[in-house]
Amino acid sequence: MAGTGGITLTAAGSRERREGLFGAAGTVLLELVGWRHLALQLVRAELTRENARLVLGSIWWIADPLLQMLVYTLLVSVIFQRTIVDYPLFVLAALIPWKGLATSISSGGTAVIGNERIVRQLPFPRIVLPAARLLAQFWRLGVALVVLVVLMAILWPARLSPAIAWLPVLGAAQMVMLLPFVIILSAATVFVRDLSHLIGHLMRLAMYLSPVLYGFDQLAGRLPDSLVAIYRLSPLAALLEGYRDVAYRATAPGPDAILLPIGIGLIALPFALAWFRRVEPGFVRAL
Amino acid sequence: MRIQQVGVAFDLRLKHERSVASTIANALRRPSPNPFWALRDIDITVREGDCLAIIGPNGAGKSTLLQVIAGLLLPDVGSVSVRGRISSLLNLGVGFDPRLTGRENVQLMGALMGLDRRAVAGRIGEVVEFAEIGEFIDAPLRTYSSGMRARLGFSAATSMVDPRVLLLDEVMGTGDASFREKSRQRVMSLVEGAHTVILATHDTAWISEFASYAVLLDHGRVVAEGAPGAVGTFHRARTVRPPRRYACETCEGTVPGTCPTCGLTLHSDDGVATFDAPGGRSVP
Repeated sequence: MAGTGGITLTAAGSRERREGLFGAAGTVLLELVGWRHLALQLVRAELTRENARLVLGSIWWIADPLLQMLVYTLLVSVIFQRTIVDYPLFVLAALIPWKGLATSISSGGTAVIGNERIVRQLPFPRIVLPAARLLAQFWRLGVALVVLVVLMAILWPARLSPAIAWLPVLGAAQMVMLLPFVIILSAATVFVRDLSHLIGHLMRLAMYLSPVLYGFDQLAGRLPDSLVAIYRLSPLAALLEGYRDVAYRATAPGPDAILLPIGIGLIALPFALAWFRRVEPGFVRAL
Repeated sequence: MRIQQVGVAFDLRLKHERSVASTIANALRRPSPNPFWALRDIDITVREGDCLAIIGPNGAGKSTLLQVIAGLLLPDVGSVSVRGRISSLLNLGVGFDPRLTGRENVQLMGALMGLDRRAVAGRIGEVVEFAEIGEFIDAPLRTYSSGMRARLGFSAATSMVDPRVLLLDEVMGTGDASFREKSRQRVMSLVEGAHTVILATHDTAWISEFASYAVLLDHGRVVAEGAPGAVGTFHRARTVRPPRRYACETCEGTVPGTCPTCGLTLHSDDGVATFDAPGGRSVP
């Protein structure tokens, strides 16, 4: 399990000193590629497990944003008397990717502590745990986006356009953006257990700060232009507006919707991988 | 395999689950001045083809030592070097999920041990047959009896490995009498097939059967080592209350050094002194 060659373990910490940032990151990445069978098995197990646990299984993953859509539609159009045309679709187009983002963070963040018993007993590379959790969420997001397209075809056929072909691209950009953060969180929660509670609240705050219930257009008249320009630079905001372009406005997403998230993800990834490699040997001791 | 001067210290504060608040509090404090040494000054060399038994009472550090050898725990002091692929049967059925079927659990376990889907699929028939699970293999694990679960755990763990270095931690004693006999034979054949075996147990009855060398651990230190029979006898004598003396006429289990008669090596250690207590000269 520790490979077929010989290994030598010396006192903690002395093993990684010589490799640089990219050396360490590359090693972890290679481990992940080498153990892809395990990652896929973990994804399968997770999807099966969820289906077995709840009566409706994965249905909740889609029902959740749908119910939220009803609540927000009621709130915004009836109580606040705001009118955005086809608001249910407007909000749903952002709620589904948001659900994907929030569950990726919460499920990926507990990837190591949630598999504590396995981690304590078997010496496989731990990086497969957060990667598998994220991959499972990617699958779920894909299913939910298919449901979105089906709903559009039934309820808002006029808004259905070839632009929906961008949905998988946006989903992939989202995953690239999330990967380093999920890796960091999964390791951080090992050492600080109740971090996951904190994250839950931060995610709620982030949702109201993100263009989920509103769009860039709604901000335009209310905030100074310079502030809106900065806001648009947020990869998260750009991504969500990108989804909305595709599913609501029936246009191709702006380049920022894809390039910003991917850029952030790729810049953060080597740091996340290298840090993971540094703290990984301490997992068993801390768990 | 060489284990040199290995020590594992646990900062006892780390034993408690940490929270955001306590982390901040700890960061302001200095590191704990007296850590708890789960293992201290462990020096063991195991040659290829040997079978080492690690015995000792509960909490002696046996499992910690196996975790260090398996590469799960980095030592704070010293080094461990191992040649060849390590397979550990540290805890059987670990990671089994009650919501998944037996087959899914076995596949997952195989993947955790580094096997791809095809390799697992090729061995799953053997796993099912040995575990005597039958068609239950496709039923969720929560429908299994505890015996079935234990049998599947043992079978999956032992059928899929082909190790050069095998680590066994209290693997015996699962299932009923007939399965225990079967699993004993399975362990025997694994021991014969593997190049090097290290087993940890607090049951000295069967170590002479497998082991070529034994080490007695207590409170994280090697108290005695040598021929499995002698170490086993010494360990039994040491744990009997009221304390009795060791059977060997030459060393009487009290003098540090190697006894020419029984082959027991005693290390001068506080642990030994407690053994030589009143209780007469009865032979275990």
